[in-house]
Amino acid sequence: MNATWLELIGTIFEVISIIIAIYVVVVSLVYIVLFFVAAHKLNREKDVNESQYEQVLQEELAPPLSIIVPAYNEELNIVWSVRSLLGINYKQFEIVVVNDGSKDATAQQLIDEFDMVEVKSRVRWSGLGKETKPIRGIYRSLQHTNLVLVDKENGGKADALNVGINVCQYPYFASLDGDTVLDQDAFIKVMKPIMDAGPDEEIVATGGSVGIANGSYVDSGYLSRDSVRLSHKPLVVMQVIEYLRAFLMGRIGLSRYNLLLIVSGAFGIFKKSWVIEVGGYDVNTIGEDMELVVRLHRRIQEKKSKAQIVYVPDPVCWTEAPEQAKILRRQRTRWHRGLFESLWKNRKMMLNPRYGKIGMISMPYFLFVELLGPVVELTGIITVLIGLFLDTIDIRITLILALLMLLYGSLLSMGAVLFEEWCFKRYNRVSDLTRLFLYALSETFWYRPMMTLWRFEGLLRIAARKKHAWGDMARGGVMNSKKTDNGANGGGS
Amino acid sequence: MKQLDTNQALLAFALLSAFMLLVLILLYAYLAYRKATYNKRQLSVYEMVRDLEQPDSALETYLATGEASRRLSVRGPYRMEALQEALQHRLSISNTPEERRLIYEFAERYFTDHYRQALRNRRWSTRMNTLLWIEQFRIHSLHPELIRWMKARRCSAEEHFQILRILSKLNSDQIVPFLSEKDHNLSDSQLLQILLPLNEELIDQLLAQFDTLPRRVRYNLMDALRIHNVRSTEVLALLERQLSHYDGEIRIRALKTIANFGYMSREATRQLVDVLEDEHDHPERMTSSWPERLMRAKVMGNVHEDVFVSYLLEMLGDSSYRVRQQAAESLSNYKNGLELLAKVVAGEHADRYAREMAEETLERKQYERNLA
Repeated sequence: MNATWLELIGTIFEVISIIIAIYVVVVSLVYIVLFFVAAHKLNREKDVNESQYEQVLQEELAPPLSIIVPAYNEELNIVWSVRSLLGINYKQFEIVVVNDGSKDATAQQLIDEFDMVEVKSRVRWSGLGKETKPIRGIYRSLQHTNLVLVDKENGGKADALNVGINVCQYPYFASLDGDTVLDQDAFIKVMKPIMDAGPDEEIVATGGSVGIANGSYVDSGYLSRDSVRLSHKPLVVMQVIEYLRAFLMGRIGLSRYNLLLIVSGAFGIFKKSWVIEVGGYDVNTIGEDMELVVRLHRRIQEKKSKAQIVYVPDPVCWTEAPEQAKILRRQRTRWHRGLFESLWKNRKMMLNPRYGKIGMISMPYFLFVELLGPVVELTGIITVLIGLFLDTIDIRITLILALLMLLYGSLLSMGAVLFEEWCFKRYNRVSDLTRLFLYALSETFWYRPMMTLWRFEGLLRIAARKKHAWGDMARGGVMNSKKTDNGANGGGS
Repeated sequence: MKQLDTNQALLAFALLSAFMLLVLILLYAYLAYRKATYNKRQLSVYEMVRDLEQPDSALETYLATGEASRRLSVRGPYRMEALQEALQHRLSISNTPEERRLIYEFAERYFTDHYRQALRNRRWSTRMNTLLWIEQFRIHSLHPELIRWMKARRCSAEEHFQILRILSKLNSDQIVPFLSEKDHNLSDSQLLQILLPLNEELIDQLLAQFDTLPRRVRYNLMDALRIHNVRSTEVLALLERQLSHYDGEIRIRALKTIANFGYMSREATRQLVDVLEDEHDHPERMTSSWPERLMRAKVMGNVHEDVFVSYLLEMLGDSSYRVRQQAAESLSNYKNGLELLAKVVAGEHADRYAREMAEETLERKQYERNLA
């Protein structure tokens, strides 16, 4: 190699370093902004007396709601799932279980348990003009007039949800993972923005925070306040911190300006007419929940509507987080592919002023910070290593910068813990707090690089383009039996 | 020179790191302290509430005799919180008006000054909590303060609505003028939350000026009448008058309330039959929406008139699933309803959907009878 080559490599190296430096500074600033927006909102609401607040939420005034529960091979827990749903605090609701061609006795379990009979007459369709896999039969419970089962051929979760939308009859529907444990007042809390919307306001979708149930004691589908415990497994504790940060900082910050592109996949409420208007769930994507929300935003902008997608910070449901690295890795690579697909399918909105702040702020945020973050991080690490190797970077500077990033990340994490403490106080013990603090400090050394790698792997797998079916099953010990590959789309921030 | 730059940068970064570390440690200390004191507070409040709920406690004596002993003082750490909680719990299970009166009286006497001060607090959440307590304990003497704060520019939307809820629970004379003015962009649910607690006197005042009320207040007032099961001839006459209103939503809410009433005057029955007859003769002119037809079917199921049967049978073949469903349900309320449905199943109805719906309804009724 001659001198010009070396010079060229040196220049490229320098340019990359500068780009990465700028990126790090910008992203840090973005996080700080989100942090302060959330801090402002939550500090105002801190310590509002929740027990009283609940009395205010009179359930009899809530609009009727359809709850869609897509189920695939859930014979072990579908009955208690439905049972706990039948017991929720809500005045008027129907439950539509969609059996997505399960290979086990999911449908038969329900039919036997709830005295279900086949509905012979033509069912009223909501008119979602979308091809779905054929329906084998629709059953209605004789015990509970508000319980319906749709038995259909296998077509994936999105397809099952589309069928549910078609069959359900009320103006709002909730999509629910079969394995989510709901707070007793979850529906009331999440419907509140809809109930409070004045005549000239419109709410298209709402969602709430998702908590991690591992370590807590779940009793037949119900998790009481006193039973919340922080798990002792390092992987789970890190995910708790991650969820807190994603929900309490990322989503509150973005939702404040109607910039939110995600309503949790584990539990969200949608206005049916809007979902039908945009064509329902996309069956060819992994992150069907995020993709739908992006499309709803797109439609809102195209119609120049003032409709909103709202996020409620209250913790409304619990899900089981993966405890094994193998499954966590699968989950994260999937999520990342899902994120890519949602952005790719709606790429027309990217930096397009026609789509207002969604196009100009949200989409770029999710592209550069969430999707491409791992690429930049990896490049950064490699650049630093090369730099150290070629001795162009001062090792002391490198170390102190690393320390700075570590402290910065820990500060954000602890900030999220602070918000949790202000508003919800889910973890009751000082020792839980101490553990959250110590784990937050350790994040940079193992969890963060691991996530970066897996998310990067997700990007690589996009090329493979595997068709989406149901997530692989993994039985955990938290809720009898569990699917762990689904759940909150917790894109970290 | 370069060496100097690096050293300066190092120093700056080191200082920044030290600062962040300090913030981090302070944050942790604050959180741990907060958690510990919160837990301590919870524990002592819990213990005090438990003591207050003992059968021989000062609170029980007060509720039994109406005499407040000195032991019921609000002074002392967490005393106020504990009393509030004990009283609130008591309110939620208490069913004698006398006991409620005593609780309200106690709160009025001992909590008012504290609440008055808390309402001036700079923290939004403190004010909001106070408003929630005021609502629980119906503190009348803070009425002027509430009105003043409601009109202040700094009053947030949440507080404004919360004050409205309180005023409604206190049956304030401000509510009727407020509602008759305009509908204030409140949501249906919020309007209903204000209308439901009102006493008879205020509801009568609103009914007296029904036709001049804002449209959405009228909708929700009819819903409130339905939820409260108000059954008076005046209300029935008012509802029946609405049936010929040009606004479809008014008609729907009136029908819904009449269905709950379960009775209709001769005159109104005849009018409804006329409308149904007209739509039967001129299906092309049919303008009623499916929710209106649904409510009509519901009315006809609850107001048993033989003349309705033929229309219900016709509605079994309605284009809307829910109307068909309601028509079948309504028919089954009639004395010979199940036989009629059986005849429909046997083929006495030209419409296939009608036959299927009749069969489904029969099946369910059969099941319900077996259970009973």
